[in-house]
Amino acid sequence: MVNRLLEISKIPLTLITAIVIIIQLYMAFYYAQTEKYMGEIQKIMYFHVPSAFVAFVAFAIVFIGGVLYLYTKNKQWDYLAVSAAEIGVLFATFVLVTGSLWAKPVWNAWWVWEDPRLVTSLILWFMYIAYLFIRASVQGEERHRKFAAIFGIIAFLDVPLVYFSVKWWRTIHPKVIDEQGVHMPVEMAQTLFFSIIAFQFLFFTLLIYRFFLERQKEKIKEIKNIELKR
Amino acid sequence: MNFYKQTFLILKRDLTLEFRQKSLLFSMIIFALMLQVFLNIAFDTDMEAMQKLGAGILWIPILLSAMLGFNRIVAMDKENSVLTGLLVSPLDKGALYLGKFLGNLVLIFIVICISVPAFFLFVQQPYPNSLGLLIAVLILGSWGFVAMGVFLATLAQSSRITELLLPVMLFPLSVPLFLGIVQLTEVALYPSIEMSQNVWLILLASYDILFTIIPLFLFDYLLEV
Repeated sequence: MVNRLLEISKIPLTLITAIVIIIQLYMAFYYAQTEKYMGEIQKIMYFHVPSAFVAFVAFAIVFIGGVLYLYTKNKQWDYLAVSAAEIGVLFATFVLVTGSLWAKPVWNAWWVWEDPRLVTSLILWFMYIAYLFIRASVQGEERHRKFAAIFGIIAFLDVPLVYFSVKWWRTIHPKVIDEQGVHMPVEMAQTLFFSIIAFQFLFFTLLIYRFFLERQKEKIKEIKNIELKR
Repeated sequence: MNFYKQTFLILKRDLTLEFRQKSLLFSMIIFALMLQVFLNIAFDTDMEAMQKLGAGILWIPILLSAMLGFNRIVAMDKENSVLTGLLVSPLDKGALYLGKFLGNLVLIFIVICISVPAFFLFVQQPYPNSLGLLIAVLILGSWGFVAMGVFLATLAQSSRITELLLPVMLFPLSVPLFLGIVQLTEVALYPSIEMSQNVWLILLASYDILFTIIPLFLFDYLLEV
């Protein structure tokens, strides 16, 4: 049932995502004004921050997929987890790269260890690289699914601890959103929030395609096995 | 047989095996001491630099020799299909984990008992600012690291690249632990450093509790295949 629904929604969702991303690009480059001190480089924010949100949602899905796979033993959950993990690593890489590109002119350094969010993101990236590592190196069908699920659960539970431990250091990351509200002009804020939503659309579209790819891969494997047994 | 008795039996088995050959324990101790000496030579220590590096130099040998232990404990159970034997026995998998964890912890405590005094001997450090805190950190820190290590080593054993996969998984997951122990060790060693220790102690304790309890539940799945 759910699969059928996903099949049907694939094309409309892709179209919506394309439109939303085009609007996002327009907003980022034309609608939002250029920042006074940083200039053009500040526009990286409209891609950097949304990517970080995508990575985080992706890793949450890895966790949920892992738990449900262990609980139900339904392979579909594992397909979901591995798809989310791959896209999550991709976007996390994007976050690190765009962050460095921004930091070089603004902070005058590619990387700063004093900042908790940088360190947290890097550690997260390492964790999910390890997740993909397990999938690639553990032998046996059911085995690597199970092991990846277990590691995905542990890794995600570690995230809040990493966050707090690293946060208790000094921070220099620009804090545009805090308890007092949003510290930027309305157009910029609108663009940022729209970008976050647009990137989520992009993520879910990619996720659906990647999910079907994984399912097809498994089907081909099954067919091959049947052929071999004959 | 209840859970605790089973745990105790596994612990007894591991320690008996270990103290019969003593090869692992000796190599861990020698390795830790050697690393201690080499780090001191490498950093060419003066007192001021030591204030910054001391906590790291105290811990690196302990953590790395613990890594030796994790790889060994897995390899040991692979020989003669010991693990299969354990799995067919009517044993609670949680007890198996807990027993192995405690066994490793005992070995690490022995390493600590030798490596930490050596640290004070080689580096000619002043008497620690707070001995109680230092001991607490040593216990909490090695507890968390061993809990995670034993669990992940068991996870990594079915991989083709066990020795590589273990650090790849263990180090990122232990970052909160590392930060906590280094910060607290600095406070414990040097009187001049002021820091709020309570938050770090809470962090360490929650890490330890979380990653001792979760493996207890997940170990079943881990060994099922």
